Amino acid sequence: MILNAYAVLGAAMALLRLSVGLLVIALATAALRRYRMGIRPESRTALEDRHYLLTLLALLLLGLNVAAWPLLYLLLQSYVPEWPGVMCVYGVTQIGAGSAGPGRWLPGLLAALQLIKPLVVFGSGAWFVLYLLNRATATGPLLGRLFVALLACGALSVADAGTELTYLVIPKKEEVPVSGCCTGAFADRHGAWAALAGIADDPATRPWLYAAYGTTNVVMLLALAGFTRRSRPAPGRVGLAARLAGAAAALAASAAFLVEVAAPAVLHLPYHHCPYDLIPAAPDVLAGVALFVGATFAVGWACVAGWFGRAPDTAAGRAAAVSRLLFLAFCGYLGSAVLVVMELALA
Amino acid sequence: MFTPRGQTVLAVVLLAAVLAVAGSYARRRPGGRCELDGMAIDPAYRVRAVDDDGAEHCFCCIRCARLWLEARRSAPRAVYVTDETGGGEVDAAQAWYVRSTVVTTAASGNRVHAFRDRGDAERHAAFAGGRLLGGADRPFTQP
Repeated sequence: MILNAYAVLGAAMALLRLSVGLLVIALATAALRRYRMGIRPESRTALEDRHYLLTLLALLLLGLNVAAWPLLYLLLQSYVPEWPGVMCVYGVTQIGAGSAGPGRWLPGLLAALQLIKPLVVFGSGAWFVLYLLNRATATGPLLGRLFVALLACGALSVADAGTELTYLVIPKKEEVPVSGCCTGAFADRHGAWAALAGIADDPATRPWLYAAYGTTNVVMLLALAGFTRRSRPAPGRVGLAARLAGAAAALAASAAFLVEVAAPAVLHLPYHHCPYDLIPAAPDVLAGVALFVGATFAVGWACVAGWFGRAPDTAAGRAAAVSRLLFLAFCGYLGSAVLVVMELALA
Repeated sequence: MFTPRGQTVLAVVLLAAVLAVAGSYARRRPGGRCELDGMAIDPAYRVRAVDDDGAEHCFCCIRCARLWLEARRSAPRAVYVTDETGGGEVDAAQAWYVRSTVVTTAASGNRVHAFRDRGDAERHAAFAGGRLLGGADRPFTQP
């Protein structure tokens, strides 16, 4: 285990998230069982009291999950100087590859962590959206769905915290990088990113990346522009599904654009396709990435509110919540696009 | 003039623009870095390429220079490597190369060393468990 301030903070937060996550699972399971048996008037107060405690714990878990995501990358960045051949977070993610000891699990654990963390944040946010909808009603018609959402969030948080703790405690200082850092890996044409690098390096296909990024983002901005007015009615199920599909397409196109076009241009390294280098060298671009991810999540949360928040009492609140979330998504896409376009123009 | 949502949109756009300008200004850094991976260049392993437009490009090691050249469609006008024994530039076509156990640049994992004289190259190969590169194994060999 490499001990530094970020590792200690990460371990403490992971332990806390593990404990709170297990508590949330236990309480949500008990509440869901009682809810499914049918609520009698005399037991409703007890169930609501338990729901308040569960809500407080879930809010704590939500805050911890959001903070743990950037903390993981700060932790990995703090590990960079530990190995002489490593120049960025990509090198840290490759530590342990080819090892025969417990270090061989490190790359897989990090890959899992990088996948679970966004899911955990999205899941926690989805629960929060449903919670706000439910709170605005007099009868609490979404209580059962809230317990199910909490179970899922608790399970994801426990999996995430457990994976992070395992990664932290596995000895890694003695592991030696088997190759160089991202220079060789991305340029040697191995893996999916390197295949993308091959496409981007070809002058004939490069304009397609610009077109895909521009088109998907402009389409999303146009689809969401109406929500800058409060009076715009919230879209129905099909409208939400279409916007979610657009958000998914924009996410894929923008991820490729970031790796193959934006990162090399902003870092002034035209042949270097490593997004991890942006963490120490261009944190302002990461703000654009955060805005974009926030916008994508906001579209997803609007779908959660529109699809899973349906109940007789929630109609007005649901429409307002969907409209507000889609407006936030518009702000995120716009801010991200302005930042990226200006960064490219000034690079 | 603006609705509350309009004011939020304006604030987001202004904030993003200010952040982009400030970030770009802060990243203006001096030269002396590898054009492929941005690492500081150790003068002992520096490689200099002159492209077909006459522009110069400097790299931290032979591996970075090779990767850069492979990514380009046109052949360079000239490539110069640095003699590890005596320093000074040598035309890449005239140099002797050894692949050994010694890594010149940790970040790229480069193990290919350049020498002006064959004797120096053979001494390094014997000392560091390497072999002299010839034929197609030589870096910067035209296909």
